[in-house]
Amino acid sequence: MSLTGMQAWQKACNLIIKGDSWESSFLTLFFGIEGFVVESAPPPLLDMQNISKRFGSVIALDQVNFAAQRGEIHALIGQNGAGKSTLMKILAGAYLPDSGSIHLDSIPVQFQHPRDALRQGIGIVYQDLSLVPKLGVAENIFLGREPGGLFIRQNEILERAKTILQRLGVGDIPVQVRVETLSLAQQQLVEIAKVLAYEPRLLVLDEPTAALAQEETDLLFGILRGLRAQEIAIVYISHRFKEILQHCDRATVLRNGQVIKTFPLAAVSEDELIELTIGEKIEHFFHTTQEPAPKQETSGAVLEVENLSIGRAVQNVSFALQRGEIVGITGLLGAGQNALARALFGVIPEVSGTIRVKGQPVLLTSPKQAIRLGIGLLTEHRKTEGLVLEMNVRENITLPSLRRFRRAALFNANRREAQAAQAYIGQLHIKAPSMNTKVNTLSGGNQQKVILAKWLLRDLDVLIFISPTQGVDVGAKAEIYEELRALAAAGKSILVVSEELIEILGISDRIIVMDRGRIGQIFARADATEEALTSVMQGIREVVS
Amino acid sequence: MTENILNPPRASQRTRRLRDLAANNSTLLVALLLLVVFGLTASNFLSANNIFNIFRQMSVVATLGIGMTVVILIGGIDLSVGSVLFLSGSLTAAQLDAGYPITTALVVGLGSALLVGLLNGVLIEIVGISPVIATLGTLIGVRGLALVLINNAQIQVTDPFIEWMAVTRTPGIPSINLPGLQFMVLFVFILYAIMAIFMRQSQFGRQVYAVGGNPVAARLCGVPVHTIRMLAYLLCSFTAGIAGILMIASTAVVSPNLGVGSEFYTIAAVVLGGTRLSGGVGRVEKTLLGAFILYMVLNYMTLRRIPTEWQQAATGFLLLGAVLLDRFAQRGRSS
Repeated sequence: MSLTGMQAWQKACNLIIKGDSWESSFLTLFFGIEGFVVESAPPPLLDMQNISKRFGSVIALDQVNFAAQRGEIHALIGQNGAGKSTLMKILAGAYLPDSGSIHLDSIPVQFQHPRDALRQGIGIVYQDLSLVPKLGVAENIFLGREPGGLFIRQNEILERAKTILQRLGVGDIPVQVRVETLSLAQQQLVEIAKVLAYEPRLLVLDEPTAALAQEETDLLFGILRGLRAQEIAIVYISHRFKEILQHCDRATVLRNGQVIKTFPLAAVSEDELIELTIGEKIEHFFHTTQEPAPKQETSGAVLEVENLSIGRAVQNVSFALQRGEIVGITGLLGAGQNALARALFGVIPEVSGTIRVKGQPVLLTSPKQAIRLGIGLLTEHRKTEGLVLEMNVRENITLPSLRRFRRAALFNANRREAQAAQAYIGQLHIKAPSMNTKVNTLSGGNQQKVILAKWLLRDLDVLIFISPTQGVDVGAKAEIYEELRALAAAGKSILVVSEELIEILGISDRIIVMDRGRIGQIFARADATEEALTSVMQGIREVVS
Repeated sequence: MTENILNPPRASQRTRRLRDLAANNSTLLVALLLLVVFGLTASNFLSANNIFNIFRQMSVVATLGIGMTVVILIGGIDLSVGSVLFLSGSLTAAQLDAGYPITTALVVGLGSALLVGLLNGVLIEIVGISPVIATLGTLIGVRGLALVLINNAQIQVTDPFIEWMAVTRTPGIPSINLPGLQFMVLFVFILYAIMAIFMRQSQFGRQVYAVGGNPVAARLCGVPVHTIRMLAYLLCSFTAGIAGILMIASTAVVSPNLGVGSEFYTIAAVVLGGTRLSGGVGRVEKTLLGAFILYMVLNYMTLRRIPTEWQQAATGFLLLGAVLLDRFAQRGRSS
């Protein structure tokens, strides 16, 4: 019996028998035998078939088939807007599919509510943490299902939380402290522990490593391998192809709501993955060639930092940023690069040392003042720090530049404002139905471009980017890199803070590696390799020839 | 085949657009619906006389609503408006009573209101007290202070300008004394027109929405967040000061209970107008509609001779109903 024939037969049966337990197990048994006869693989734990979903006129998912086996780490890849989130939201019971079926262990299931999915053993770790910052670690893990009746058995919660964290190999996270006191990476692990406390059969992770440094990423994959050995199916969503190639077993690529391919990852290269994801060959994704940047003789540094210290986070940092230069700053999470970037934008006013802008010593005490001095900051927290989500694209773009559109002291000149916003929407290829679309409906990459547009319109000299492409899909990433290079060529000075070494290596003219609050080493691009940077980051200061 | 794919989304797009339109103008729809229902069930309700009457009754709360909307838009709240109204009204009346000219009286009244606004702003933005506590303090304190300043006296208002504001006039035919629009009603409409444009077009207006929508992002964009918030509290007290003048114009006498509880009717009007209490979303002009709905319901109940205690109960539940309706509308849109 052919596979499609089998599926049709299965569907027909499902119509007749609506999944009561003994009937379903009978079906499983029956199809187990069928499967044996045709020598096909054992039925997958999760089988989503012909899933379609449309929102208004937009087809989000078109006849998508997706299956995950027990004991595999299955990567789900695609650009933002390819349909990954929609597919996972259907799996989680947050959306109902327009058509198609979901089988779990060959039993047809229908999730009306996220609770249903959780009860069926589907655990999802979302990108945005869902922890309550003021509650303790243990309370968060058991939030909403505390053991005990009217009164919670506190000791039991603490004990069980401890056990779960130990099983994850992170027993050093204290269970009684408030979550807000933990680092982002630790919070992420608590989030995973919370989902694991439900003992899921299927674990979905939505970009779990976006906020993690290399070491923590390795720790996470160690944990995932352990879970894989326990026959748990793991669906892993990420934009980091290197990670996927290193740790995942199979991948499914989505593009424009359709499945392009599902394949084992053993013999695939990173370039092939990128091509599959964006659907075209791209040669110029990074500066693969080490062509020296056409650098005009530097007419003095735009931004100079001398002996800058911020509490214990940053100690005695000195460097200079030239006109038209891109300087990358990297280091392990917490090595001080983020604090440094924020201090240069006046967000952290308690600093010692000297900062000079165009030769003039300045005291940066507020973002407003930093902007006036020609400095802009783009952070990795687009929604909390970059955008006013309830405002539209135009209003977000012109927010720092409103003064320029004032007329008669009080009123904005609407037409000029609209023209300015439209110009940058065009230049940066911001995909939005119109400039009056609310920014919270845009994808991550387009939101990032809106923030970039906002600073470009303000016409600043120094732009500081913290993780500019975090959570941004491959296509938008390439566009953002291209834009950064164009900006540098136009004479802007750019500081890029990132933990992604490939990004830093690909884009920077010079690279500053931070190690525990100090500058470990400053590399010229030609001297920098991934290995050299890593060794400095880890505190092994080898002299690189 | 192609048509089968293309047609349904077009239709659903149309219904969706219609639904969005309805959701965006739900306040207006509710107002029109009530107007029709009330008009059909109470014989005098739709007479020009009665509608103008509603306008007159709502004018004080509507004026308070201008500043209150802005304060709620920045994510704050101002409970002190009823007392500021009393302070401004009673001081103006006391000045007039003492024989000072109307301009001096107005400057003293509105100036005192601005001082309270400044105090609110400083307490909230510089000292860091939460808006509810700070303005609860001024709500209680300012009324007491005003009573001390006017010696707890009842003051008659006989100034011709103040009286003129409340005189019933028919626009265009000033000589015929028909029931019609009063100057104060027109004045409120004009204030709303100015504020509606100002909030849409000015730098201040845009920054108010930015500060209310995301204060962190606004600060990182160089928006002076604290200044904007303080200006909002100043504006709120200023409109409360104006409301105080309108109040003494319509009552012609200052009594110690003037404006007691008006802060709650004002917040109710703002909420009925669809402004989100957490800030960042809403429109000033919709507060005018909210006030109209509120006073339309009160007026209707009076016409139907419903006892006042029932009127109050109904007003409370109307507010809850409006909030629930808004919740459903938002849920419908997001899914």
